[in-house]
Amino acid sequence: MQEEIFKTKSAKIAQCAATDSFLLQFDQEEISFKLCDLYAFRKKIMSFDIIELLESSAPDVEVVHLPHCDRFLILSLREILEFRELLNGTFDTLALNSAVQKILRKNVFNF
Amino acid sequence: MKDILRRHHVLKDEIVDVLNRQIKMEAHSSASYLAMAAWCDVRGYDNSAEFFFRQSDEERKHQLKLFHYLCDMECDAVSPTVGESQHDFGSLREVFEKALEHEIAVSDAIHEIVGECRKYNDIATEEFMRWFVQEQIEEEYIARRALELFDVLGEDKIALGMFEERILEIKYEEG
Repeated sequence: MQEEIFKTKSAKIAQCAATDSFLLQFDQEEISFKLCDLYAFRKKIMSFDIIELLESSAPDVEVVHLPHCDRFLILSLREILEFRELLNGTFDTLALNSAVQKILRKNVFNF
Repeated sequence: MKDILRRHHVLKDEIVDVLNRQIKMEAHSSASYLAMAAWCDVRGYDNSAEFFFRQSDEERKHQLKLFHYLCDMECDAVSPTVGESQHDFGSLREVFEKALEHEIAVSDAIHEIVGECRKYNDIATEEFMRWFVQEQIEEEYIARRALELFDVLGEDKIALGMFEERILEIKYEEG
């Protein structure tokens, strides 16, 4: 079963409890991530210098390699910004869920 | 909703970041001690060179201890790049002065990590760092003792020979 974690205008991330993985839906594509791969993806997206991209005379696209599935994403500046929002929203939601689950776990041993 | 984050990424991002910074610092310390060992070795201070070779190994072990901890917690352990180390020193005493400066900087960094653990209520990592706190007490003691030998013996050739005889004998005994 997939549960939506966070959604932006043209992308969304859902989690699959059965496989402990995350599904990125973007531009009619689906890419599956383990948590460590999602962290690595976020690190790459966050590492781009937006100001430098804006000031550069080169085309404002960046290539992101996803080694866990051996795919390349070619992202425009707008898409990089959207992915930042998506990934920040996703990790904030996951952290919130962790905090809620921590409270709920207290009831597991409710003597 | 299943808590995949807690199951597969045990530590908070802030704790992962400070531990990775410490891995880099330990790697840099290990490289610095190697440079000190080389300086001593080519000038005939064999025992001082051996002292720094051992220190370099120690720092490498500290680096790996932190690295394995992050891996065990399913967090992102970053293999660090290491910058240039200082290779030129004016005297044997200056080498040991630098060694003590290194150890004090490492102790400060370790204490800051403990502070971060307390801030984020990360009891497990704080407990893990306890070993490093103790280790730094020992490392600083040995570096300080080595410098005190210069104060006691002086720095002429005979004194440096006596220093060489004693440097590998310095041990920390708790209490």
